[in-house]
Order: sequence, then structure tokens, then C-alpha cells
Amino acid sequence: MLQNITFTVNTGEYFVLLGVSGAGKTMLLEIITGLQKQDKGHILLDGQDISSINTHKRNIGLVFQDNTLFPHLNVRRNMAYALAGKGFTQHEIYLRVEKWAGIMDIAGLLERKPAGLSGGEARRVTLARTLAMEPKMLLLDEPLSSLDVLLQFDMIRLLKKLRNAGQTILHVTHDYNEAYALADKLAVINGGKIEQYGPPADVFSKPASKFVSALAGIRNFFTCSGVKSHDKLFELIVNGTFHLFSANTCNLGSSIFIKEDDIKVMNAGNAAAVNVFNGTVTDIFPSPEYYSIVVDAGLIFFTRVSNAEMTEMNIHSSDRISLVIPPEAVRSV
Amino acid sequence: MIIKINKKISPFNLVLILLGGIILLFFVAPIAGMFFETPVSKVFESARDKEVRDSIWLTLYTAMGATFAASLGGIPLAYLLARKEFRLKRLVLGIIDLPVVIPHSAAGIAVLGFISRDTFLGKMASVIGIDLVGHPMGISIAMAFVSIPFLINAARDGFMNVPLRLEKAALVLGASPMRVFFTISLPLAWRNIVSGLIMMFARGMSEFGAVVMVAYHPMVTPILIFERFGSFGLNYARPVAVLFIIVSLLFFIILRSLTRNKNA
Repeated sequence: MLQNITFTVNTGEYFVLLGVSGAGKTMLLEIITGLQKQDKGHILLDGQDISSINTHKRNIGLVFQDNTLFPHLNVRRNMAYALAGKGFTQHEIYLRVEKWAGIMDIAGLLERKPAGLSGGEARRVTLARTLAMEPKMLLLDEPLSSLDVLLQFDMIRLLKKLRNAGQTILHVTHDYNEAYALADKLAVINGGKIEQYGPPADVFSKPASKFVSALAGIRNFFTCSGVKSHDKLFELIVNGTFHLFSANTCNLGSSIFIKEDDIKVMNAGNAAAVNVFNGTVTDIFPSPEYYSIVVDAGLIFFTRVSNAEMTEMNIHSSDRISLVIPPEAVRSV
Repeated sequence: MIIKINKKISPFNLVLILLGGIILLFFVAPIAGMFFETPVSKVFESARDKEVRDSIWLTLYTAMGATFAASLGGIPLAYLLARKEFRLKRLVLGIIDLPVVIPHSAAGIAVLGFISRDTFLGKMASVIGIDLVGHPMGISIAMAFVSIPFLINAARDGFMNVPLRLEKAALVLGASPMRVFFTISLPLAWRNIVSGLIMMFARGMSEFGAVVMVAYHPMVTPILIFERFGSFGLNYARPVAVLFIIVSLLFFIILRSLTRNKNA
């Protein structure tokens, strides 16, 4: 079920719709292309209501998440499929296919049957087939899923290239990094509704809900249950009993969050002015650039330590350490 | 069929092979026996018999006509049944299987009642000077009646095996629903459809019960075999039966190999 979905994709814009699986992203794409009918509402393309126009006359390209190459046609005929019966001459079709095969780097695959293509090749051919119709708008359903890391990087570069060439793109994904890498504008969809909408930097620096923050990878999330005003700081009571000093106030019942990077780790016993919490290390997760450390200090905090710091501080599981949270790092949603 | 026999055969597999072998023998043996008991000269003699040749030719073209005519409506119906959900769909599916489960002589009576001169269809036909009863067209109708389920069910399976997303992708690429049907659905379901056409053709050719009610004359080969047996006995019926089986098998081998090449 989708409700009250309103957003605008400007010409030449790369718009990413971010949401977990089952959020209705694919359904939304099918509604935009006319494969499914909406109960209410309108879809405008260039200011024209296309809600009652049949799918095959909409000129909106959709690249499905699953492989949709026609198995009985070779790559060339797959790519020419959208052009047949549209008043193009054979020569024009030939040129159009060659052009997009060149751009998408699949010229060597044109005579192959889809069954002989690798996953990455099939993905590029599918995209090329849709681009060959030169749609007013390109819809992409999870275009990077099930590609390995190297192929994902190639595909991201290809998509950037398309965007820079002026192609209007609506891309749906569940992956925040992918959204951040590509989007000019971003909408977060949850429970059939759009929760937040704007440039990715804005959305992720000022998440409007716990859900958006969670998508952005923020895990230090607490509920504001009381506020005392001091001289320059606010003393927040979070999750019932925990006291935290903050540069910002919060509304009762609302969420506050702290980015992992903002929490400093020190060996136990070090003193700072405010917001020093002693706790026990419960988990350490290594990654190529940093260690993610989980600390129980009355509340569970997630923090990050660089590899260099980690070597220096020599932190182990069950160690006692101190966390310092700068008051300005405590933000409310 | 190739049965790979491992060095060690488990007792269970042995039982399976034994029981399966008996069943294979059960339908290979009578046919093989018939071939062995019929001198080749008698088969050639039958082939020279004009009555036999006419009858085989009649059987082939009435069955082919029935299959072709039925496919014009049967394939679209199969597509509908594979793709659309509607009320009473289960009832429609049940009706399609009806000719397979009712006795064919009863089916023949039903068809006869439908095409005889005093019915709407019969009157229509008599306007253009055709009496469907005892006419090759009537034979085709009787054959189609009992054999069309084979086509519809096979074609429906074929269409259901075509991933819906391919049809959706074709629509989004700007193909009209009709073009999607002819360029995507039909070619991808083709193998099953041809199977269905062959099955329907074969079933139509071998039909006796329904055809005999509609037209004893002109005689299709199954009726001719019955008549030779009734009038002259087994030895006179056998060469015709062998010849008919050979012609049928040739046809199916040719049709099968044609479709295999297409999809290779």
C-alpha cells in the first residue's frame, strides 16, 4: 500500500528513492510506467497527466531488478526491440543500437544470446536496451543489486555518466551508500509514505525520523524523557534515567541521536568537563578503515576508533573505557 | 531411453526397473507383435488399395483441419487462461477437460446433435450446400471436440512458463499488447504449443468413437480398420492398422524434428 506519495523529479536530475525492501518501491515504479494502476492521484510528465495513457505509449524506461532480456533474441535484437514499429528505418535502428552499445561498452556482445552473458554484462545490456529507446525518464529498480563490488563501481560510474549527459533518472534502492553516491535529490520511503525529501547531505545530516537515521547508519538513538535548562547547556534525561548534557534542547518523547564519529574513546580514568561516561566494551567489529566498538555505559553506545588509535589504545572486549560526548554532538531529530 | 546401471544396484532400484520394464513391455509387445505377424507384402498391398489410401488421406487432412481451426481460438484462450484471473476460471478449466473424461461415443452423440440438419449450425451449413453429417467437415468437428483439450492445456502451460516480467519489460519498451503477444509470449511458449498441436493432431487422427457417430462414411482409417475387422477378420484389418501406425509415426517424427531445429 502506498499513500500520499508526492515528489517531483526535475529534468536532468538524478533522484533516488530510498527504502527497505517491501516499502513499495517496485510498486511505485510500476505505477509510474502504467503496469499497475493507482487507485487515486496523478502522474505528470512534462506537465501532462499520463495516468490514463497505456504503458507502451508513455516513453518511460524501466530497468527491472531481475533479468528481463528476451532469451530468444540476441543482444542486438533485444536492443532494437523498442525501436521496431516506431517509424525508424533499418539503418536508423542500426545506428541507434551501435551508438548505445558503444556508450555502454557492449559492442562486442551484440550477436550473443542472453544466456551466454555474465551477470554484469546482462545488466549493462538491459540498461542499454532501455536507453536505446531514449526515454524521457529512466527508472532503475535496484540497478546495483547482485553485482559484485567491482561491477558495482563500474555501474555507478556509468550511471553518473548518464546523469551528466542530461538523462533524467529515478533510481530506487535500499542502500544508503548507493543513494549518497548518486543522488542529486533523495526521498526516503517507509511504510508506503515518503518520510523525508531533499539533497542527500541535508537528509542525512538532519534526519527527520528514527527510520531515516537508521537508514543512514546512525545507531545511537535515544528517547528524550526530560529536560533541565542550565546556564548554556541543557541537561537531557534520555531513555528514562540517563543524564546527558546537550547544546540543543529536545521535546519530550522525541528522538535524539549522536553520530558514531562524534563519540570519543579514552582510556578509563581520563577526565573531561561534561558527558564522560565509563563503560564496558561489549563488542568490537573490525572493518578496513576503522573499528566499530559497542560500549555499555548505562546505555549502549556505538562508536568508531581508527585503526591507528586502536593499535595505540589496545582495546579488548570487556575492557573498561571512557566515552566523551561533546554537548554539540547531541542532536534532536 | 538410456538406463544407466550402476555397478551396485540397490534392491529398491531393481524393483523399480522390473516394474517399469513390465509396463514398457505391456505396450511395446502388442504393437511389435502386430508388426511381426504382418507380412511386408500385405502392407504394400494395403498401400496400393485405393480405399485405404483415400481413408488415410481423409484422416490426415480432417485431423489437420481440426487442429488448425481449433488453434485459431484455442491458443488465444490458452493465453487468457494463463494470464488473466476472472470469476468462474476454475469452471472454465473444468469444462475444457470435459471431452477427455466423457466417453467418446457420448461425445459423438453430443456433436451429432449439435451439427445435424435441424440445428442452427446445420442450417447455416446447408445454406452453402453442405450437410455436416457424413461430411469431412463434420468429421473435423468431432475430432476437434475430443482433442482440443490437449492443445489448450499444453499451450496454457507454455504461456505460464513465460516469465510475466518479460511481457512487462516488452510493454515498457513500447510494444503494444498485441506485439508483446506475437514477439515475446508466442515464441517463448512455442515449444509447448507445438507439442499441443501434435498431441491434438494425433488424438484427432486416432479418434473412433466420436467420429463414427457423425460420419461412418466417408471412412477415416480407424473406422476402416474396424470395418475390415468386422467384415473380413483380423488378418485383413492388421495390414491397414500397421500402415496407419507407420504413417502416423512418420508424421510425428517429422513434426518433432522440425520443432527441435527451430529451437536449437
